[in-house]
Amino acid sequence: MAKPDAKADLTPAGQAVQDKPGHSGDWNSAPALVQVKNLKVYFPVYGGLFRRVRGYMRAVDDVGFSVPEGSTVGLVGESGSGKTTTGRSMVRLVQPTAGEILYRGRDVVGLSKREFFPYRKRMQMIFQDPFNSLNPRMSVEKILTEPLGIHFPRMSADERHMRCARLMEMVGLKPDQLRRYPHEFSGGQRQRIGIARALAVEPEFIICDEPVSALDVSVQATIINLLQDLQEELGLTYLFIAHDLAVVEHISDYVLVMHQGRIVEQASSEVIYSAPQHPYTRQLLEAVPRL
Amino acid sequence: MIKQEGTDNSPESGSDKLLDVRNLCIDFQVHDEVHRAVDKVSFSIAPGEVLAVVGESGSGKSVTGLSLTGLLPPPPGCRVGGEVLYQGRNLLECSPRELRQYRGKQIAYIFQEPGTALNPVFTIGHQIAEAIRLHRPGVKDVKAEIVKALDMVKIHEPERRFEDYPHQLSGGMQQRVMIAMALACNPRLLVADEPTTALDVTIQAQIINLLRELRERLGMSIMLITHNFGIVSGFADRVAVMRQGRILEQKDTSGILKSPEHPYTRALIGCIPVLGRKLHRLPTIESETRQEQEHGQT
Repeated sequence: MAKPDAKADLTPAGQAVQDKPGHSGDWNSAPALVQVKNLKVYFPVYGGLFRRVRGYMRAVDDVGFSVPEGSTVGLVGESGSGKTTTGRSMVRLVQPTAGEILYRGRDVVGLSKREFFPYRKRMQMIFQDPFNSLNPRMSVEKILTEPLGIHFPRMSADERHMRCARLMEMVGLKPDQLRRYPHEFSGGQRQRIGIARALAVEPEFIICDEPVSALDVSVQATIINLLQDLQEELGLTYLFIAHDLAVVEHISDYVLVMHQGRIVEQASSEVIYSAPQHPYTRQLLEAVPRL
Repeated sequence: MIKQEGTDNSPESGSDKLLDVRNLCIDFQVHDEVHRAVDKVSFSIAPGEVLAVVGESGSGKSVTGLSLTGLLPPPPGCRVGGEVLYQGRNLLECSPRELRQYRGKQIAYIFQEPGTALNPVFTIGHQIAEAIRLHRPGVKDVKAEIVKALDMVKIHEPERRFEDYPHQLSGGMQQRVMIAMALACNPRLLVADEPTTALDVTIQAQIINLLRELRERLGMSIMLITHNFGIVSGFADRVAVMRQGRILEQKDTSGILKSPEHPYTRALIGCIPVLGRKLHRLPTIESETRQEQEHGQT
């Protein structure tokens, strides 16, 4: 694993910002940053007198896909379809029951906590609800320095402060707002803080779990634009989870449609819109309000 | 436009307005400062009409809805001025006791987050019963009414469901219960404050379809408060665009979608991603308003 980079340079070291792969190119032949194979996440269902395991809820059932480097893969589905569980299991917030998650070719499922630690720095997550995902008792500076303290322990206090100020600028906030607390910000600004926190440790891969669902449409547009700008600037790879197909189509190069724990369709975003194959995809498309 | 049974006047004539809001002003006092949340807002809703009030968060659209039946905090924290004429009666001058006759019975509400709007410690049947007992004391068989209300919002097996607690239902189901509760007293006006914002797009489409169907069947008026122009089309008859406490423009829906006059309206419509129209960047409000300032328009 790369040594902690003391210089507050946010471009991932040694990685050239590459062009996005063409939309029409073959998805699975593109070099994959992350590959998911036969991923299963089952939750035990308890019942009966002694709360014994009565069965399993198959939240994610035999899911496989790959995320090409530098691209955005959209994951759509309604609530309960297992899309969030898929995203969370990729960063080991949920332990997969079976399957492989290959990060740059290395399976990270079987790793111990310690072995997985360097990967946490490379994979970050942005959460849905900007109101509950920030600790209300921490100032923004504290929120942003906490991951730095964990992953860059040798960084000096000054460097950390500099990095925070830089992060704030990157996400369109003012560095002098660092001393403020989350409640002093609007929903869109809080989501920007959530993005800054994810960027703090220089990740390569960010899982965006419904980052705009809780926001007004007008704010939604600014956050989507910000995510796209950051991707271009830093060469990030995204897994973009959402229930709104219009948003996903806009931001993604490839789209996965999930239904009841399975992926029912995967294609480039143009194809999925112009020629949806699965009836569920068509149903999702119809649900999008038209102007 | 769907008309209330028995009313054959055109909705444009003054006497036929179900709700007529004139120069509504709402001021909030924070410490020693007075903030004007709503500034001289006027609009009206005809029987059977759906008016959408569209604006970003902070535009004053929700407080406008709440102020209709005195749901805002009492003075000095909040002051409401102007007139809210409901069938000719000014609700702002009513005593709390009189207001209770309107609130829930004539004017009902659906709120944004069904998860927090429902009381978690009572069954949904109990909560619907509360509304019926309060506003329709003549009803003998309350249970039958609850079942009828749940059936109307298409909840399967209402006889079993009405003993469920809110946490046993999904978000879409909870919102259906909210609608059932609001409709249990046959209101003339339904104020739907962001009814679908907390829901998935598929569920959102279902709820909007349900509201559309119910309004055709029951002939009630709906004031739909939303930030999303997407759900307005195909549902609302008229749209009022609100910004910073003021109504910028008010027009019929197709007119506003086809030829929005105000640049802000254009921006609001433009920032919604549209399927099949892939842009490199989404237009945002900020960029539009900057242009607006450059052009010297307000």
